[in-house]
Amino acid sequence: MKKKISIYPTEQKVFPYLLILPNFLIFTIFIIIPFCYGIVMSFTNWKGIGAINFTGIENYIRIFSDSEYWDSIFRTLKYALIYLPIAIIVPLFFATQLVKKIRFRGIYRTLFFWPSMISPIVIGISFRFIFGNSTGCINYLVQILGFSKLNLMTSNAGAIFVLILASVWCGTGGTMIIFMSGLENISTVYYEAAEIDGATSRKKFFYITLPLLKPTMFLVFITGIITVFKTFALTMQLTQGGPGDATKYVVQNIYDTAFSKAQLGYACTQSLILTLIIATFTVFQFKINKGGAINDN
Amino acid sequence: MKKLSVLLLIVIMAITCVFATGDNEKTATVKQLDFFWWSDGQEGVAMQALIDEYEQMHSDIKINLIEVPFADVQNKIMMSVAGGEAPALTRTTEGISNQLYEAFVDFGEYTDGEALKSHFVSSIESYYVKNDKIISVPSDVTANGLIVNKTMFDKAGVTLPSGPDDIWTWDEFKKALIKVKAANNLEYAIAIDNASHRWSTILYEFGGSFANKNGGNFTSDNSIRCIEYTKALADEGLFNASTWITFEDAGILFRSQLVAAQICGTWCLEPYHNNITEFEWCATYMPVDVKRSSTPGGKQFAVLQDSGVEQEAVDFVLWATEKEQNQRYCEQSLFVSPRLDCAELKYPYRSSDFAVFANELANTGNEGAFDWGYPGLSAAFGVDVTYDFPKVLSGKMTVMDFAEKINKDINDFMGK
Repeated sequence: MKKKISIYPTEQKVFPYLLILPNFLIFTIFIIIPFCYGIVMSFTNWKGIGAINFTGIENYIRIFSDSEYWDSIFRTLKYALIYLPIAIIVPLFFATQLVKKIRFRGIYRTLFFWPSMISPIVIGISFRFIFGNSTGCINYLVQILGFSKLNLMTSNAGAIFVLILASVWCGTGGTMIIFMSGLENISTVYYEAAEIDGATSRKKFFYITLPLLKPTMFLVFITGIITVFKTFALTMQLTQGGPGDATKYVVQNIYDTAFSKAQLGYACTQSLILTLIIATFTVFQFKINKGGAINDN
Repeated sequence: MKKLSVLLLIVIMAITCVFATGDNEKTATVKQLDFFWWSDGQEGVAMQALIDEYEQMHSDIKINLIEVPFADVQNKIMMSVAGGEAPALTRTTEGISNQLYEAFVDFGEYTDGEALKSHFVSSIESYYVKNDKIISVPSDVTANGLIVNKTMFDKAGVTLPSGPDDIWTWDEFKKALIKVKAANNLEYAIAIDNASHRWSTILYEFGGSFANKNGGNFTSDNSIRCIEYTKALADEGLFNASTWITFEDAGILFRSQLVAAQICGTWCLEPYHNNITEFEWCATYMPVDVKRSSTPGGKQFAVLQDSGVEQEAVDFVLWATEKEQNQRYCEQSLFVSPRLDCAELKYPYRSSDFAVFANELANTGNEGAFDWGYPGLSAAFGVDVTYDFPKVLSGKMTVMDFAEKINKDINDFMGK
């Protein structure tokens, strides 16, 4: 019998690393190195142009008394508290319907997913055309019908409502796909057993679907938090942070510090503190939810 | 052998991904000058004509006009400089120059600086001279002013000022706006482009300013009075504050006839001439309070350091801003020339409107040049004015708190 040639142990150890080498190089050059550079810049008063002067921990002392920065952080947290439940419940609802064998399921999936492929900038501009105070379609139609204008964009609550509407509209598709994948991985055996025991649809959802969907929900929640804290392109186009600074969230605050106020060094400090906040929150969530592991009980 | 091929392929892919880069084609004989540009109207066409003429005279020079949206110009220059890919030239404003002048060459090192400065109106010197360095060369002067829907004003029976000796006061103008609003069934009468640069025109007319050589001046009695007057205009439903609160485009409101007047500037004359056909419009004199004022502005051409073609770029700028070229550029673009020897330009249309703006400029003090020309100052207060003035208009911030906050920004920056 011919002897089979086996893979050398050295090759076996090295080959996987070679496969991830391209991605690792790109990640290092475009993420890690700029991140390290940002840490170095956070100890300077660089304006983005001209000389770089090291100022020690001045920026870090300054940030703790920077009420504008912390106000933007708390505004972002408040936005997250309102947006995240909606951004989870709506896609979950659509996912539970679209995993069923219904007519034209493929078309519905495409229609719901399609907005997530549109650039947030285009969405922001489009929603301004719809909800704009003086030049929006809705106010034009409302006034033709003889009613008073809806001053949505001039009130804090109205602007946040329009922002959430735009965010949910464009984000539902992607989250829905993730939930659909999670739902399709739940074994039908559980539902069959529940059916035999006479469980209602509501009980099946709360006692089988939701607990078994925990890893997926955890993933969606964490990515949702990171997405909320990174909110920028949509708000810049839709509200530009207005009215006043009601929708001026933390990334826009950092952007203004860096480019409008020409304080790139201090903006790096703000970015680093934001990274630490998100990382702390993520680690905390991992511990609370045990990394998304399903509770065997 | 197969594994070796796969290994080699992976390494080549990795290196290609990392080092793949575009390449700016440069030949040994032709020098490429990238020129960052934005257009409000036809000035891009006028500049391209100048470039074509210059290239015919200098076959070893190729100038690439690169259109960049105005909102992105400052960031694009900053990123280009930081990335070592600075363009040779850029169009710039006093606001952009304030932040980026350290990256611009000093024209005084290439030519007689005093002789160069002597060609231009003195009121804009602080816009292109920073720390005794000539960091750019003026290409045109702009002025803020008032444009009105004449059709609506005529319908309301409101007569516009007939000349510089017939200027209306702010109270007379306010009464006129009330009449125009009622006669034309408007929701609002006037829109103002933005809370900082455009509104500052009114601030100077009230005798106030953001700063002076002693530091912040925003809490002075005149400045406070102006803020309160503006708030009153909004409270009385005359001023459409959505341009500040929701950042709606005041130009769109004017062109859509949702307002009868707009405080904007000379750069609007050309696009409005080309695009407004449904109603008659014209420039008219700004109302006066304690004095008349506009806010001088303008564009300049700057040459970036470390592009490798600084001399060639400087030569082009100095040629493009000479009397003959600048006159053609301004006449075609409907701009006011910054040159003292180009005061009487022949515009193909709207000459009377230009005459109004020129007269406004001629009656402008130095407050605007200080606020907008002092290096870095406008960046210190601009963002907070943009986001906090709407809070004052909507009652979420008091006038005094707003004024004190801006004053503090200015004093912190100026070290006062």
